[in-house]
Amino acid sequence: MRFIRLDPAPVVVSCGVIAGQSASADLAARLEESGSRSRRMDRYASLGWAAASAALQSAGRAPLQSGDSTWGLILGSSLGCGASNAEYLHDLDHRSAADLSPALFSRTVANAVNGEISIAHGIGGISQTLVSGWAAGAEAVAEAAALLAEGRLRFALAGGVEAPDEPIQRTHAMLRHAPERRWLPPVLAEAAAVCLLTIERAGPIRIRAFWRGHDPRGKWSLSRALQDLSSPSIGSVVVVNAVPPDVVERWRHEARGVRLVHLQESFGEVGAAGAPLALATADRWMEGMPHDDGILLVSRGVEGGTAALVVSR
Amino acid sequence: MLPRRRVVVTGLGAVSAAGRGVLPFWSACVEGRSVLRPIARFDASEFGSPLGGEVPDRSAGVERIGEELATGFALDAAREALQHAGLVVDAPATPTGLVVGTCLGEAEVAFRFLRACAPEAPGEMAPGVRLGGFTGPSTRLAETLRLEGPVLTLSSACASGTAATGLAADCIRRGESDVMLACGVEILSRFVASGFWLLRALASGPVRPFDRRRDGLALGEGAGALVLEEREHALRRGAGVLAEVLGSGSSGDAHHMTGPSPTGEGMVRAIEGALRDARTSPDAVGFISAHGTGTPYNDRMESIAIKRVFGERAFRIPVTSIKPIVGHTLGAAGALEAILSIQVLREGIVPPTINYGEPDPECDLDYVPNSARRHATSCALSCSSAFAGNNATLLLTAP
Repeated sequence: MRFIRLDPAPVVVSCGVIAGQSASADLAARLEESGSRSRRMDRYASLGWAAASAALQSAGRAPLQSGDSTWGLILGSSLGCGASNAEYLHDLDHRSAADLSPALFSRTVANAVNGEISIAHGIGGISQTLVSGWAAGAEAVAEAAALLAEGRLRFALAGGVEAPDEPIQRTHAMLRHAPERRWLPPVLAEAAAVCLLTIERAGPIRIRAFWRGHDPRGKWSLSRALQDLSSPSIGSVVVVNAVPPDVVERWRHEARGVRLVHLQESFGEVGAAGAPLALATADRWMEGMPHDDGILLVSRGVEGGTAALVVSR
Repeated sequence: MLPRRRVVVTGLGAVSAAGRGVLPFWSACVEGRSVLRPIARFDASEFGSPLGGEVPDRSAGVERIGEELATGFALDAAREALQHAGLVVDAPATPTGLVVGTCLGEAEVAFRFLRACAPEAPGEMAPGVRLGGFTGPSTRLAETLRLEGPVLTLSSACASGTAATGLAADCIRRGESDVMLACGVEILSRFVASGFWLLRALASGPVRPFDRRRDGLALGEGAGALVLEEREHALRRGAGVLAEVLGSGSSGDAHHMTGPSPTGEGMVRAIEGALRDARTSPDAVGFISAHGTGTPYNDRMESIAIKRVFGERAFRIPVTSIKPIVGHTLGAAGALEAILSIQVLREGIVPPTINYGEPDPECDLDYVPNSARRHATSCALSCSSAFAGNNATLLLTAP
């Protein structure tokens, strides 16, 4: 297991979060404040746009000119624009071709959220949309942090967006009860968390290292990870997504006294938005830890995509 | 700063409308032989009966995985690439990672799930419905080929294949893995054809990139796979080095969701990003594989961008589009065009842009019209553009 250490370690300047019970109200308020363009977005793009806008507003920073190539945008999502795809496919199955909507078709690409944020805020640098499953948000934050450490970006918005609408949640819930399943992943919830990262400013949290890999059989070893991470020493392990209980138990055993918390128990299963959400709430997971200790955020998808971020003050 | 290891290409694999393998793909390109035919897989008459680049005999190949065609294409291309690289197929001795670039992934799996979400869908789940459209190809490739490195899926619409190759190279540079498979894959579906038809982007006849008469593109499908390797790792095991990935670039237009920036600014940023990443100057570039879809806006934008970056030299660099030959393969296009670029470096032959007849004053570069040309060069640039204003570029050099 090779953690990639980031030197310089990018700083998390600010985060924008649209999640939980207030998500719809928060999103509606942001849409109300904004121009007509944002009202044309689908839920997926508008969630991402709102979280990105909140992060920029909170930081008081934005690209100085439209198309600024020093600003990048790296996002992750497991479902992407699934709701728009379902709507377009439904129309395709039930209407004549002439009655289909070109505007709706343009929303059926997973990187639509990048496009909308890029247009709204003038972000012109590296733009990527990772769709590797629930770990995609952690992968995106890792990628952004690496690009900053390499000097290829000065600022990066990085995070995750999940927008399962009611039909997707309902269908996913039915899949949970497929007879061959030995473990039931929880019902999906919508959320967006986007963080502004840079190496040019001070900030409360730094991303020190990351690891990305594939672990379909749940053999990822927390003890090996902790062994590899002698500095900073890890004070808490935050398991971001729902993982089978036997895996959590094994990790708890391997943690050997290091506190292990399960974020999904607090926020619901927010897929790829989970790791960025954990990053946005890192202070909460650092409570009571020695100042120099870090936390290890572990994000894992049902297909085995696994990513870990090491974060410290 | 993070370590910056050198990344080389040691294996190539392709599945396209020209057939299975790099050889039929390259032969069609060099011969300027279009393999586009009227779309047969579904009734495309409602979309003006466009031409399409369908993989012949979809059910052939080494192995089919149920109806999972994208996975089948990707797997065939990946196995060819691994074999070409001299790595053990299905059990790479070195931990190997994977980046798959795709628009829809395993589209039929995604569609089954999405149809199950419809309001009129029955309350009981039909067999075969599951999540994992995007990740279908990457998950199955990782499982079948026993890949243990990072397994990432990236979706930047039509720039996905190029962006995936750049990301895979970055994974090696940073030390995440010594060997990575980069793969772009897409299948041709009614879903995609209808959308391009709605946007009036399908050609009414032959696809004519950069020609004054151009009026759209033809869709295609397939997969391209490249084995990327840390240079010292490749040399230690005596692998044949086909090319080096010097750098990659990416940008957002920050302009429009479906139309490219008319000034070409986004593409300029992506090309300049690759040059900066490669720490090389525009003077090094001797061949450009263009996105060249054959749509009026894209080809004009791309020509402007090339002139803005390369200045007077732009008129002396051969620029080729293979879209009239195999079609626009969306998520696979960037990977197939990276393979094409490497073949140009190796063979010293530039495939033509076919169906070119009437010059457009706004597209006034050397598009290698209609016949292949001998042209030795050591550095190639491959460009891709996409919906949502994404652009991606790759800079490749001879070893």
